[in-house]
Amino acid sequence: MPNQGGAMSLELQQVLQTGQVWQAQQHQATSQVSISSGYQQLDNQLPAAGWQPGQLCEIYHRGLGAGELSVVLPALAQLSQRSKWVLWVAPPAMPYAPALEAAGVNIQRVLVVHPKSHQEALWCLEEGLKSGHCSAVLGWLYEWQKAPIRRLQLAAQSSAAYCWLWPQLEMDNSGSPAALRLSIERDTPWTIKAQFHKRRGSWPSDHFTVPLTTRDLSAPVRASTPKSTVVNPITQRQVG
Amino acid sequence: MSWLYIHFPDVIEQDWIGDEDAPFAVVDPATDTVIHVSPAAEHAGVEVDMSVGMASYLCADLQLCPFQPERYQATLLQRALWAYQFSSQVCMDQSSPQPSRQGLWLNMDGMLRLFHGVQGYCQAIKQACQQQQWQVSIAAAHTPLAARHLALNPVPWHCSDVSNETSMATFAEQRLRQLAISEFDLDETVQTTLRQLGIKTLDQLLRLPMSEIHHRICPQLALTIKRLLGQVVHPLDSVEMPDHYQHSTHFISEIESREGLLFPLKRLLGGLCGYLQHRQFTTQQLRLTLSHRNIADSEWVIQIAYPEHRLSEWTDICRYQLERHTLPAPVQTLTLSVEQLLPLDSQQLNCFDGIFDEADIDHSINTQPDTQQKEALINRLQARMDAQQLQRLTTTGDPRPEYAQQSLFAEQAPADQPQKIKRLCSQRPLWLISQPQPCSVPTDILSGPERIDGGWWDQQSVRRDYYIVRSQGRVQWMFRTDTGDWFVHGYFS
Repeated sequence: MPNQGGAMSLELQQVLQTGQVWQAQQHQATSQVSISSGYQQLDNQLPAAGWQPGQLCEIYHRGLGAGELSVVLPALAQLSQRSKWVLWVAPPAMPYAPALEAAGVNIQRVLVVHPKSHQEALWCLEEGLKSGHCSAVLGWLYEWQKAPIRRLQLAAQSSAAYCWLWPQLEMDNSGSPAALRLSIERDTPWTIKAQFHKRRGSWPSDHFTVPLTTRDLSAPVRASTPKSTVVNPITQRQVG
Repeated sequence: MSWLYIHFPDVIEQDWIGDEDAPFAVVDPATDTVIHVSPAAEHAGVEVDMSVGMASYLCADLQLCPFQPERYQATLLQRALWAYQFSSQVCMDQSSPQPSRQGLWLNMDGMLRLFHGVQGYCQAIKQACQQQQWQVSIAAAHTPLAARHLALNPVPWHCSDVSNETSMATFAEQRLRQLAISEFDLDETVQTTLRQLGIKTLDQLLRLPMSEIHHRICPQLALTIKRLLGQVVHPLDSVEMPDHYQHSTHFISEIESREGLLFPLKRLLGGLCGYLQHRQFTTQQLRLTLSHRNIADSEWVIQIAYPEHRLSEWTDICRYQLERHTLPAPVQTLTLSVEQLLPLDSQQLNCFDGIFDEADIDHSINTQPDTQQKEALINRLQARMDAQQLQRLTTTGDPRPEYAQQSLFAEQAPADQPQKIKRLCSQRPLWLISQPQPCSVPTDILSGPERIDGGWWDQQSVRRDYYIVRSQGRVQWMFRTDTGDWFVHGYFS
């Protein structure tokens, strides 16, 4: 802080010391537990530079295929290596196991639940979060009320589970008990445009882009042929 | 001191459950007399050995429960199985025809070191009984019979007052000698003979020579005295542990709602889980039998996918499963039975599993001690949902996308797949829809075609060219058939 005058900076110092002022640099606390989202641009925008356990994140999108699942896929791959479940509640279609495997997710930990009603879906989410047997809980909601979301947020906090929800509705602008609210739409086939509407410990962010894959999706698809190796019988060296 | 006797004055209540403040009495159906009264009934003036008519007259809302010997035996057996946590030899005492003078013997040899002496042992048992809310009378002695008589005639001094074992033994002996002959459950003729001889206490009896007692009074009496003094070994049969578990509770006032069943069920489950833990068993199936007044018994079977032995889990599972059943009629008796007892796998109890798992180390906020028991979540979810609503995934290696993955039931663990050659070229969508949707010819193709051709082996052959397509802001996986029709098969999320 530049010294703008002895008496004023002294008052400011006192106010800072009593903790009455919130400073933006405080939210970059490094001692908090988090796992990287796998995307540097997303990590930069997340409090604690990564997804945190016990912090419910709502992801809003329009229709399947907007990149809404890819943002959590690297984190899921990491979490599925633990000896706990990755619970999928009421997904809109069946998650495709070969694609999950290619992304590094251990499908032996994946448990998919198809509840018959919204109440049953909420019950499954809460049971999964409270049990402590799930490292991650993913839920697709077709109705949205604040009270159940608050209960899920508290349940996630109590068991330190990672939780992501995809409400299939328009975002309710009056606020949400969830810790994070993210909206996603596809920008180009290989990047998405995202915006945080709520971040606990920080203010809402501007739009930012996240490249989802390092490989260009428009590259021509060609089966890879193994490199031919010729072994020189005399020198026994591989000549590629 | 090697024998302990536990007397349960309330076993005669035979696990009747009712309102604790309501007066009730246990009645002998043969003679129609009262044999046991609850405190509230005693307050109203009802006494033991009173006739049923008189008792009903004195207390208008007195509940009468008939004494049933087999139920009494079952209750005493449950207590005996419970007592196995304190001793390796538990014997039921059924020497007296009166049910109020029956109890359990526990052999203390080998247990005293664990419990720090006789005082500690008695204290531990008393605390355990308090937790179960049972009234008990305990006494320790060198011989079973001596312990029995001391327990049935308790003195205020009890075990805790006396400082060490030797002084306790002398005190016990003095107390025994002062007991009246009528306490010893002897035949009428023998009692008359002894009365005519002027012998009123055990002390007087012991002054007579043993051979004279044997020949002139009764040989059985001589044997009893020798057993009491420890001159002859008293053989006792241990209670055998059954291979199944069954326990019932009876309700004084019938239970009419499902919620009313939860509390007695929780008590039964507590007994079951304690038994499972003591014997290191686990189980996958419970059977609840509900007895009704006018209709046949109903049976509810609670089956879970993975064996469970913990009380908290079974309580929640039963609570969820009860919601799926309806009570056909008010319930008089609830019986919990388990026929299949499976040995508890020691791998399930590995307490280090959660601590040394590298990936779990940053779970410092809430460490669950049994992370390897994650199958318990499947039990809980299935308690409320059907089995086919829970699925696990596995890949099959089939080139056709709709057959490349398989859904398994939650109980089936996917087999470990061998290391597959990764097909670097193939991009697969995260969502596959079950029925490909017809669509129009795409305009914005990002990549393709990828030809997938196969299925000749089960007559479900497919030949499709797959493209990754962008439309309406979404990236989709479409294919074109030989006939030129376009379908959407998946979404890249």
